[in-house]
Amino acid sequence: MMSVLAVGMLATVMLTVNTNVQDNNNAVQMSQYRIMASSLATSTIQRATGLAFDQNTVNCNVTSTSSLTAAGALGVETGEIDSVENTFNDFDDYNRFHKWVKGDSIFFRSADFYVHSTVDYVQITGNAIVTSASPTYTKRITVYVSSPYMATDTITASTLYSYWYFR
Amino acid sequence: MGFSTMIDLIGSSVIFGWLFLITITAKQANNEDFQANQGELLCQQNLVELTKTLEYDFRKIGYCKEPDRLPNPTLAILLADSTRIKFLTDLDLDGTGPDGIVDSLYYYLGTTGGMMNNANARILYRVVNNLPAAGSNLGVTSFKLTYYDQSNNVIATPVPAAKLQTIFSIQISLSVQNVVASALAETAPVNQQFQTAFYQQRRLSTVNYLNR
Repeated sequence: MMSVLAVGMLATVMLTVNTNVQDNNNAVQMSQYRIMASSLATSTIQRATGLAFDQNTVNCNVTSTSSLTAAGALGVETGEIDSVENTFNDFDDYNRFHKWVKGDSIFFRSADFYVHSTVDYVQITGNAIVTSASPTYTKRITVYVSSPYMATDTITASTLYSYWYFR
Repeated sequence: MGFSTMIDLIGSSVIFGWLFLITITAKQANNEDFQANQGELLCQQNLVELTKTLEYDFRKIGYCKEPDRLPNPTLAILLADSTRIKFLTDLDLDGTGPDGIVDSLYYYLGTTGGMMNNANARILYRVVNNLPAAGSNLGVTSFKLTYYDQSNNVIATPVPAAKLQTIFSIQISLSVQNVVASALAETAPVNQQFQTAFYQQRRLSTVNYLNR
């Protein structure tokens, strides 16, 4: 009877140790994926801020917000594909943008990630930045990065982008 | 002592030995796992430190506190290759902030060998204003730069001088391993275990590149 109890206790200890080991391994892997996910979010934001502010400012400037794309029309234009960044030519093309970044052993040694983003016009109301229903000179991109390897975690990053031009 | 008592004693000894071996094996596995986790943590910390420095420096390509001294940011990149880059910027050399004097910054990857245990690890050198090279021994195994033009086409490396101005964005790919193996048997190469962390990010070459 004592032997049976001893074996039972040992089994309990072993299970606890294994559980802790697995939890630690999981935490280590998750932190790696989160680092990569935040890098992907930053890369997407960097690419977006390298484009023109609006479709109507690609080749010229505007002097009024009424000349900018309507708030409900933010997104890709004709000829552009919402999952192919190479076809984008302005900042709000990243509205409803989505793509999978697949890991491989050579060029991207990490897990698979899903990147999608939204773009909206914003304005300051009180002390808060809120979405504007009409065009303004400032847009906000919000990038979401998730992965099947990150369980329910989603990395979110956003930035504001304002219209400016040199004279 | 009866025969059954002897059987009990022998059986108890066998069971005790079996339990003892299980405990020892579990402890050894736990130790190995702890070492591996510590190695992984160090590896990721090294990666984060490296990326913080790289992001800070690359974000300031073409920046100068006195804009008249660097009027054209697109001319800031002086050398662009797959594992090295040299560019103009304005560094905070004395802790009081950028001084308005244009500085040069040169990143390049050293050769393999010379690291403790990890033959693949190299030093990533950061040279300021042609001063003696200073590097970080953080286990960098791969530092790759990919250059894109405004149409998102890859620019072949080394980038010729005439095409340096066309660099619109730079993709940094960085792999870091531990400089010391985490496996218990460190002598045999096949038993050495090095944790690896990977980072990749694309950055604009100059923030204020375009007239929008």
